[in-house]
Amino acid sequence: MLQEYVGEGSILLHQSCKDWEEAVTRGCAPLIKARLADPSYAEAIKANHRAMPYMVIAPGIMLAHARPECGAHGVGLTLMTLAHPLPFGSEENDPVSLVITLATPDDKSHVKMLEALTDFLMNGAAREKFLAAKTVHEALAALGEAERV
Amino acid sequence: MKILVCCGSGLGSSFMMEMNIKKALAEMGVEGEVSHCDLSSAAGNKSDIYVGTRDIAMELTGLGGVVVSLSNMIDKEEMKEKLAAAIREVQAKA
Repeated sequence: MLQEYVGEGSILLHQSCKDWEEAVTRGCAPLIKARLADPSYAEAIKANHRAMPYMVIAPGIMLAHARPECGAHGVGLTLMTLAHPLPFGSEENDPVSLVITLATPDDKSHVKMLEALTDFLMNGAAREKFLAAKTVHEALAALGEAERV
Repeated sequence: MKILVCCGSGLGSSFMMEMNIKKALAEMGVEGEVSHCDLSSAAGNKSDIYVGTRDIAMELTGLGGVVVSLSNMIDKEEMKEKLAAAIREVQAKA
């Protein structure tokens, strides 16, 4: 159940960001606020992305994360849709409209969350509904839909 | 058949691909050992097939195995198709 991992304030909808760096910063903010990650975690993700844009895992989708030792303390997830799709430097998968930020304190604790996230991402209908959601309520309903399949 | 999935940090996209590949292998009826790691550990982990997203896959050539480059990690059909082709290539070499 992906909703289990989506804490208060960790669904951000139709965010206006000027560039990918601002999008990463904003995606990390709820994790930092919940003390699941340090402020330095956002910088580690940006450094990762600058080195190689491999975290843009599918058309329009970035899975932003860094190693636990880069300042992650707990398992957490932020789901953010962008008001205007942005270029993230990915030759094949730009522009990005969904930024998923995840944190895990070690190599294993996030497995269940990742499984739930994979189910959601591979469900095209639920994903489209999430992208179109205007309220957190609608967004949560889209996540719930992915599970029933 | 040993399949190694790689990504930059070894805990996000590679883990996700590992789950999908295990499901795909089961559906295709192929037995295989699937694991994941970060890019820097890939060379020390001898495998028949190396899988990564495009940017990662470029770094995986030259390790001695067949390289599968995925542009869309959540596209099950792309994954199954490319994986099946790689498995055939490995079997032909054996």
